[in-house]
Amino acid sequence: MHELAISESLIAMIEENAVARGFRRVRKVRVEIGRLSSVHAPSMRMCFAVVSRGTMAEHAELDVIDVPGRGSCASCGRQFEIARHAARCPHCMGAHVAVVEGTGMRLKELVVE
Amino acid sequence: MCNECGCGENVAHTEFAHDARLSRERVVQIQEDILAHNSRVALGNRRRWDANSTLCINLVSSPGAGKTTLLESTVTALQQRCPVAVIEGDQQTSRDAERIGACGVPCAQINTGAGCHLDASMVEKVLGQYDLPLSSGILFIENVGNLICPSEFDLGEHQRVVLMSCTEGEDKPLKYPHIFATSTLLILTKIDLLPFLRFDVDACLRHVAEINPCMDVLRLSAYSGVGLANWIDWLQTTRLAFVQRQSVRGSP
Repeated sequence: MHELAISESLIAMIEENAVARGFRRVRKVRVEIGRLSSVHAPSMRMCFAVVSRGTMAEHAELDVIDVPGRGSCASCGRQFEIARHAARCPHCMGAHVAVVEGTGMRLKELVVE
Repeated sequence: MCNECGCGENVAHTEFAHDARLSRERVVQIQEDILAHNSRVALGNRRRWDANSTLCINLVSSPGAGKTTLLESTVTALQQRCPVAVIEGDQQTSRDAERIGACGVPCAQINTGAGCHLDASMVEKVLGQYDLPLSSGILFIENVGNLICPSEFDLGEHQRVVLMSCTEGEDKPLKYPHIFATSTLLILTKIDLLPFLRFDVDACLRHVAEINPCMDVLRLSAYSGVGLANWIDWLQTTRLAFVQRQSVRGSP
């Protein structure tokens, strides 16, 4: 359940930003989660609700934006959406496809008071 | 709690108060990687190892694939050739650290408690607590047995090596792609058991190539010793190349 540790990082980031950006309450937390990361959005919501208790983000809505995977073909250089790591190029059928997007997770923005 | 908005305050807000509350809301752009803190600490660990030419290898696998048994054979074979130390990660007990310690190399144990993986801060902490003198040597980190969570957490290692035993299904790389996609070497363990199993090695290698075409594969049995020499050679080659790179980088 690494979503717990990721939620703890998220809360720490929010608290750091609260000082620098001058807010005291967080209403909404918008994150981007790559479809090729090993983060499960429902588990993330559950962990965030637990970890945020007693913090300025308690009861904040966690809005998860799903980011599709993107691959870049080493043979023909084209980029395209991919559904998994082991993707082939749909244009030239090349097997060397580098994943260029969809593995990460970002805190995009907060709705605060 | 307020029934209107669930804001957690111990008052019932009137509609007017709610409108005022809404008007005070603003959007703050952050645009930062959620694991940025872990990445920063991992970079610090890596710089520390780079500074004294210590090659760090993060061993990952499901529980029971044979990480500790392989490490016992590995440190025994390696310690005559270069300095070796081990960081063991488990939810509980220091059993693995005792096994490695019995081989005569320095070993630190991290217990993660409820945690399912090691992170860069846990490693940083033991680096400060234990004396792991390793100039031009190898530091092995045995991660918590888990094919999912450790894949998201950079410890600062130079190489991530994934183990998979022949008693597991050959389709593991397809089912847990992230950890196979982020590792540089696969070690297929317990190959002395192959005559008794229906494990299809060729199918396994095909699946690995599909997930990570650049991944090297070694096959061995830590019990019988078959294939162990190739692993020791791989470590020596990787270590010498690393030490050379560091000395080139360090020279004026």
